[in-house]
Amino acid sequence: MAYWSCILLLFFWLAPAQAQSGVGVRVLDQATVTHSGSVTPVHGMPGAVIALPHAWLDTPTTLPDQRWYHLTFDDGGWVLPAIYVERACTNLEVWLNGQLVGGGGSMLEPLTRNCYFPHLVRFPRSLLYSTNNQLDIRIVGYPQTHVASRQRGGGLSQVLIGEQADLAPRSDSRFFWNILLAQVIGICLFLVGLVIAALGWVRKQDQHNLYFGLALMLWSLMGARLYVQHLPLTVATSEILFTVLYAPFAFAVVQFLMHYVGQPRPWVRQILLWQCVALPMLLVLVPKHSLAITATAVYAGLGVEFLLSFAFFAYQSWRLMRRDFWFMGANLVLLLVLTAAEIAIQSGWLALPKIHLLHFAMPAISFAMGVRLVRQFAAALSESERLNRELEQRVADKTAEIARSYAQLSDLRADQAAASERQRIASDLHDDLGAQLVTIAQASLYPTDIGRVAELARQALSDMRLSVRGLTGEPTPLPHVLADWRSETVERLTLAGVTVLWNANDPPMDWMLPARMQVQVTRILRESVSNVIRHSGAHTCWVTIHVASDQLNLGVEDDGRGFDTGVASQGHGLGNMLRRARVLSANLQLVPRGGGGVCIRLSVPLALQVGDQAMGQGGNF
Amino acid sequence: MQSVWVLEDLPESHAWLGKALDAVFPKIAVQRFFRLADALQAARTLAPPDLALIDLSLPDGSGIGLIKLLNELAPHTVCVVASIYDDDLHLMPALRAGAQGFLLKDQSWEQIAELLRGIAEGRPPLSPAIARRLLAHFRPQMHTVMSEPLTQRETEVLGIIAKGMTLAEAARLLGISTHTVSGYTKEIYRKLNVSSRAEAALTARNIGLV
Repeated sequence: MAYWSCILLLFFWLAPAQAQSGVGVRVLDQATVTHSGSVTPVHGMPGAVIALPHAWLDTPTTLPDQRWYHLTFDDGGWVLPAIYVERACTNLEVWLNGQLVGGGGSMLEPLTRNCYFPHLVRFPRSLLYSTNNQLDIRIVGYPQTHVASRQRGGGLSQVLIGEQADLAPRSDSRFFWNILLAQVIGICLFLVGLVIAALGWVRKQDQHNLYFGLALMLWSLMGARLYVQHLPLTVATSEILFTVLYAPFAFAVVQFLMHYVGQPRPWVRQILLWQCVALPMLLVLVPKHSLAITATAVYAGLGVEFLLSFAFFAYQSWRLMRRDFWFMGANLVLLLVLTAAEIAIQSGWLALPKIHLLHFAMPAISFAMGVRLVRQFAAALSESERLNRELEQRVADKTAEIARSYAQLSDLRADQAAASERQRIASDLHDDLGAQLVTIAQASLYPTDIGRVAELARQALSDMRLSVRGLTGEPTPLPHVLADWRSETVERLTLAGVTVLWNANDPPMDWMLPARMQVQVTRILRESVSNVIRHSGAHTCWVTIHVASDQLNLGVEDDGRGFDTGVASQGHGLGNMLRRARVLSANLQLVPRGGGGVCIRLSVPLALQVGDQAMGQGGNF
Repeated sequence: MQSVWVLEDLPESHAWLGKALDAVFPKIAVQRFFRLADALQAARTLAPPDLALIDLSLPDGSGIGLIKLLNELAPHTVCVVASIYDDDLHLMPALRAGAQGFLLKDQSWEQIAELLRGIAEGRPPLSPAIARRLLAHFRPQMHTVMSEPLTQRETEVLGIIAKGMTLAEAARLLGISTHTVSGYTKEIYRKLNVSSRAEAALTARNIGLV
């Protein structure tokens, strides 16, 4: 709301500035105008008497047109006299009693553009006569038909003569409002536009910012016509140039509105771009004396475009129930009123105001909208930060949740693994120990061989020991397993008087044999060696072990009596060996060896765990 | 071997071990203990034996206590663990306490007799698993200060045993006599014991007991 109060304040401040009037100031509102090419005042030429302010409406013979205004006045007794010309377009020279007392720059093309500048001409009192002072004002410019804006059409305002002290404030005030402020606003607007356009440039989602910034920058460029005095261009060319800028401005404004409501239309964009090309061509092609009419028509056309896009914007905003409908709506209505007023002024329906109203109201409104856009941007940024924080929180929550469920899952898995392990132990105890204890019980009741009972018991104990190892055991490096097997086998066979020929390959230290597999293969090896010791009567036993990454091959051969493999007795533990091989999904074969003896062959499929636990496993080297 | 103590809670095991002892050392004097407390008392008061067969799990404690005490009071007594555990996890503490051998109570009579004979002749048993433990124990970077390091030959012997070879095979591979290999083994056990005691002292100092 601060912005509305600013606008009101601006208007209240303006009002007194216009109503000021000094004491002893003489207003000259009548002059004789002559068309003379002379560069010094020539008196006695026929001329028309006109009232001031005077505007050039007739078509001249040469361009730029030059006219001499001749005024007369009596001495008002001023101490420090001055002449104040509020408006002389495009440029003037002031002659008093045949002496050049003031001017505003180049009187030849490229002309100095002084249309918006006030002129305060100080002169020495000594030049004054008591009566009938001759004041000649030479003006070079273009008639209103040849310029795009009435403000830049040739003409002369009323001429004031009085004390410098009375006239200077008028001049300063007009300079401040028409020139200085326009410059300051123009620069500010350009910078704000640049920032907003940059926002739109880096964030393609906010493209409306790009167009808005573009519009502001174009507007501030167009505003330069108020205060740029010296351009290396003829007036005709610069008039076209400034008018041409309206086309990209319209493009930017319409695109902004459509993007702002999120309804960009490619065909509108296309038309507006074409307009940017067509407008300069049109202005170059039309005859010079119809520039004013053409420009007014162009303003009207652009006004209609704005009107349509505003209507579209209002409709879409209303339909989408946008929060800023009223703010934007009010701004646009204000803009519409101002545009309408400007068109009315240009068409001559309204008198020329002393200051360029559109040039103050427009920046103020644009500035307010720009501030709003920046605030929206900031709000969006805060919102995204908030969302980001929320998202992080949610991610953290989810991570914790996943960790929890993972822990639950692994607990569950551990439970399942424990259950299956218990199952296995139960079946081991039942199948091995149970059967062995039954045999021991029976054998001790009817002792045929007392040593047999002891042997069965020892076997039961060693099986139990293995079961315990399988229960608690970690995977063991294969070289360690082979060492243990070798040590035990060689010791047992040697003690029984059997020569052992051990042949095993050398697997890598990081090949780990699961405890369960180690237990079962150990039992099969033990059972085979027991058979050799107890039943074969062999002299030599060949143990061959070959480990590959996917298979373990074990062979136990002896040169003993051998036996009929077809009726292999259960007492030889063959049943147990077969059962264990089945548990391992292994293949166990018992074949007679050529030249006497038995050969037991075992092939175990391996799923080796390759690990770095080798060095931590028991003692090693 | 003149005298032997047997610390064992089961009468049947006493009988079994007695029979093996009779076979190897026909005229030996056997003193039987059924509880750890009695054996500890005897170690403090009686003349120490030449040989002690010690079970680890006893009703009133672990046989390791007696091994430690005998090792301290009577360094010449040969302590042998007689247990049903064959794994290095159970045997290693006993060896570190000063035991110079071990036998399994479920081994056959012949095996036990052979082991006892070996121990008496200065050929202490050494399984691959124990050898691996010993190698880890004496790994240079772990015991730089306190322990007497193993000689290169001793390390070689341990390496060969750890691969599952017998003492005889080790002797053949190294081109030395079985007797020499046994000497190395005994020396390794001694160094283990010494280093364990040094370690214990160091630990005690570290936790502020000494």
